[in-house]
Order: sequence, then C-alpha cells, then structure tokens
Amino acid sequence: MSTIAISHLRKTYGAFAAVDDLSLEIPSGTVFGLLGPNGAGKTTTFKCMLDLARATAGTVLYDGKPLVPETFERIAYVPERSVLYEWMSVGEHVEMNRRAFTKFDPARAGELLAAFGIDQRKKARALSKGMRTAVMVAIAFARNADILILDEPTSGLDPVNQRHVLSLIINEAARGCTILFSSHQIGQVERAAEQIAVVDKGRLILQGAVDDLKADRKIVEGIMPDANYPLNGLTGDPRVLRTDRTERIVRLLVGSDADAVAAALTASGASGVRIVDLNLEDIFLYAVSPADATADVIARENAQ
Amino acid sequence: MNYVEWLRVRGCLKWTAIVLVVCVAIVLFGRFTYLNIDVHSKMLAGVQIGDQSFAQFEASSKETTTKLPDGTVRTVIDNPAKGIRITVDDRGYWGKHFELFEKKPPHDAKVENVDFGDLHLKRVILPNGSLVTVDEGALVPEDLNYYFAFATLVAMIVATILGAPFARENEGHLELALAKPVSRIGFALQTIAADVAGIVAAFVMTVIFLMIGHTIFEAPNYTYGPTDTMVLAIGLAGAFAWYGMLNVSTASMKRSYGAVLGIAWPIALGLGGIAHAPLGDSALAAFVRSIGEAVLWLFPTKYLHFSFISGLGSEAHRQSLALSPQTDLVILACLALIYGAFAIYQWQRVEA
Repeated sequence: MSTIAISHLRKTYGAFAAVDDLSLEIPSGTVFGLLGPNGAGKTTTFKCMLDLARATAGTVLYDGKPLVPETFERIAYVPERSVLYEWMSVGEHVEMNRRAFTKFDPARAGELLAAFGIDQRKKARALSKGMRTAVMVAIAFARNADILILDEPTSGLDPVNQRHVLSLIINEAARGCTILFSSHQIGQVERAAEQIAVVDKGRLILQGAVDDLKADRKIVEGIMPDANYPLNGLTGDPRVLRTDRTERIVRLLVGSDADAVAAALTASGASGVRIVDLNLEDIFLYAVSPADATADVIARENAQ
Repeated sequence: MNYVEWLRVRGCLKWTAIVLVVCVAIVLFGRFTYLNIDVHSKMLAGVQIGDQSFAQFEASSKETTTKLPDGTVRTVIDNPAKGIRITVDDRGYWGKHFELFEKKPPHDAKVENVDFGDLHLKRVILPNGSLVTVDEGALVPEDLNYYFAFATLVAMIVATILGAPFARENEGHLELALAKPVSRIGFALQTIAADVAGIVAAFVMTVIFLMIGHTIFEAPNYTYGPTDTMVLAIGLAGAFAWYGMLNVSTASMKRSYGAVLGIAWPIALGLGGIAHAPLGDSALAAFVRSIGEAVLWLFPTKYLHFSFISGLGSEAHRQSLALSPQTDLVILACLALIYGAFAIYQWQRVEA
C-alpha cells in the first residue's frame, strides 16, 4: 500500500499562485479529506499530483518514487467535473478502461453501474450530471487501485447515491486502499475521513486527525460586564487561537486545555462561561473564514 | 491502439462507406436509366469526321451490321465517295474497338497515342490516309492512377475530419486520456497511428468503390502501371501531410478547433488562387502574390501534383512545374513527419 508525500508543491498561473508551498503526507491505508473553499487549490493540487498540470515547484512521491506512467495502474482518479466522452456509451467507457488497466474488473463496474441505476447502453450525453459522476465513480472503484483520488465524488448525486459513494469509500479503505478526496459535503468528510487538511488560497492552513482536531478545539464563551472589559491577557494566551467579541459576549477559540481557559475567563470577570464542542464544519469555517465562522457558530448556538 | 481514437476513426469510416455506397447506388441507377442509351446513334452524332459531322457523314453512307462467331457485333459504316470507313466492334460489357480510316484526314492530323483510363486512342498516318483506332473497356489494360488520385481527395477529406485528435482530448477529456499507464508520447503515437490507419482505410475503400462503379459500366482489365506506385505514394503522403498540418495547427487548442478544420480547405485553395491570380503588375499585387506563394509552401496541397499521369494535364503544364514527382513525394513525407512531431511536442505542453 502507498504513501503519498507532497513536498513544497507550488503551481502558479502568471502571478497567481493556485497552490503555494503545499506539503502533505498521506499515510498508506488512510482516508484523507482535503477541504477548502472554492478556488482554494484542491483540484489544482490533484492535477499536479497526477502530472495533469505541471507543478511550478515541489515534488510528489508515491512510496518514495515520482509519478511515472506505470503508477497509473495503481491510481484511480475521479475528476471534479465530467470528463466522459459525450458521444461514447457508458459501456464503451467501461471497455476503454478494461483495455487501459490490467486490474480493471468489468464485472465489478457493471455491478456498480447497476447499483447506481445506469444503463451501459446510454450515451454519456444522455446522462444527468449526477449520473456522469456516478459513472466515473463506478469505473474508478472497479479499477482495484491502491490509491483513489476523488475530487468531489458526490457532486450532483442524490442523497441516496451520496451515501452509497461514502460506503464505497469506507469499504475501499477497509481493503487497505489509500483514499484522498475532496468534498464540499463536510459531514461526509467527517464520516469517512480519518485525517483532513484544509487549504485556502493555495496554502495549507490546517492539518490533522479528525478526532484530534475535534477533541482539541473548543469554544469558550462568556458574558463580560461591558463591551470593553479587559480579558486579562487571554487574547495573548498561546492556547487561545482566536478571540471574537460581539458587544458583551466574548468567544475564544481554544486549541487545548479548554477547562483552564474557561477558568481564566471566569476569573477575568465573565459570567455564564461555558465550553462548546466544535464539529468539523465549525473547524473548517473557523479555519478558512474566521469572522463569518464566528457569526455562524453564534447564530447556530443562539438558535439552539 | 488508442481505443477512443479508434472509435472515432471507425465512426468516420462508417460515414465514408455510407457516402460511397450512396454514390455507387446513384451510379447503378444512372447506368440502367439515364445512361442506358444507344451509343451508336446518339453519342457519335456530335463527332467530327474530317470536315463534317458524323450525322452528315452517315446520311450518305452504307451501314452493315454482322455478328461475329465470338458474339461481337461489328458495324461497318462505309462511304467510298468520301473515302471514310468506320468499323465498330461492340463486345458489349467487354468493351469496344473502333476504327476510323480517312483517305483525306484533317490537315492538322498527326500521329497520336493517348491513354486515358480505359480508353486508348491511336492515330497512325498511312501512305493512303490515316487510321484512328480507339479501344475501350476490357480491351485496354487500365492502370490505377486515376483511382489513386481520386482516392487521395477522399483520404484528405477524412484526414480533415480526423485532423484534430489532440484538440478533441484537450476539450475536457485530458483527465481521462492522460491518467493512464502510458506516456504522453506513447498515447500521441497511438492516436496518430489510429488516424493514419483510418486515412489508409478510406483511401483503400475509395479505390474499391471506384472499381465497383467502373464494373457497373464495363468489364475492367486492371494492370499495375509504371506510375501507379508514385501516385499512390504521393497521394498517401499528401493525405498524411494534410492531417499533420491540421494536427499541428490544433494541438494546443482547447476549443474552436473545428474552425481551423473548416477553413483549411478554403485557405489552401484561396492561397493557390492568390499565387496564380492575374492581379496585375503593381507593387501591391506582387506583394500579395509573394505572400500567397510563401504561405503556400507550408501547405501540402502545393506538392500534390498528378499531372505526370498520362492523359492528365498538358505537356506545357507538366513542364511548368518546378518540382519532379520524386521531389514532391520527399517534401510531402518530410512535412508529414515534421508536422506530426511538432504536434506531439506542442501537445505535451498542454495541461488539464
């Protein structure tokens, strides 16, 4: 099984850096979620990893070796958008893969396509967006690859088929497959991924095991006597990652030791101090858009 | 072989075959309807014999028709007063032999020996007049020059349709095309190989359909002539070079490559027209003409000459050509290779 090592990857288009000094290590047999807002550089990262776009700098190694054409026997890739040949039938796409990849299993592809309710005789142009995604997913999962790189693999799928894809990912992971995938459905990433990385503007801004990130990061909130009441140095505390104040309410994003920070906040004069757990979506939103994220979390908690 | 490209080629050949079948069907229909006319009385009516038309000649002639033991229908039209005798041996589907003896041939009559397809015309000057013999159909061994020349046109049309294989991949399929265990150069070579095979197949199909079309009218008597190999080589090299030119022109395009394919023929023909157009002697005309000629050097059509085929083109035109057929062939082969190599080089730089 494979380890993917991305080291100081950089891809520029003119003055614009789509990927900027990105380094990631994806251990073998891991389900790894790559998160980021639109235009963060996820797809470009995938393309650079597969040599579909030439990296300006940096290296990508698979088990310590650079990508060569033969590596594609072990890698299955589902691109973000449909790349099917419109004039070809689904069956012809299956045949194309059977000819190209030695480990491709046409029977498995047939089963998966049937599970998605897709008729192999249909031309690609007759398929909806979701069905095209399903065709690419079915073909990728029939490849018996060691590495799956899935760029928005549930895009356009209905909730039932989204769940089906998620199950496929989990099953492949159980087989020992290394899976790197991106999705805007953060709930799905939270379910499937063991580790995540968050990229924004081409740069890595957060990385870690999902459980660790959730365990470590908490919100400590309280109500201060007035809007400008001092926090007694909590803003500069290394355990406090962010501080947001809205009138008298203060919210601290804490990276560790939430209980001690809560005690310190109480000691500084706050009342009603409580510790709030974060889910992956909160962590993501804090990471990529702190101000908005704060507002979202506040709004959601107020609603509760 | 690149499976996707092969599917494209297969589709293109299917449509080529459909068009050729339709053409043969039209020929077949025409053969047994419109063209099924009496050759003797109608087609010869406009022929000049000496200083008079055949119709005038026939009016004062004696015509006898006999059937020879081998089934040949011999018609002799004799006019001793005018010193003219025509003999037509009609073997029906197997061809005709025609002889015209004139005691007083036209004043500009000279020895002639002309081959055009399955038609052979020969005039000999005799002490007492001249004798023109015309053989057609199975009586004349026919080489494949004309078929190869026509097949070249069809092969170039097919080359035009297939001419943007890399641009078609660039148009949103690179993630499929390149994420395979084959190098880009390997993939490109497989693609080109599929297209080249398709162009050759279209060429062969056209020759076969031309033979079928010919057979509808008369029995063929094919022979491999001395210039057939050269015509075949120039035709195929021309089609490959044309394909290569279109390929290199579109290899880095992600869309709108169809426009390039669409305007290639008008540009090639237009440049040829500009280079030879009577634009006058002004400086502007000379400039336009020189630009046209210079650009035309890049077009394979400039080197596609078939006037060395007997019966095609005048002697003056043949002599006006700057290049020999051998030189044309070498240039076309070089263009095909250079354009192909540049197309691959260019395509290697394209990113998904």
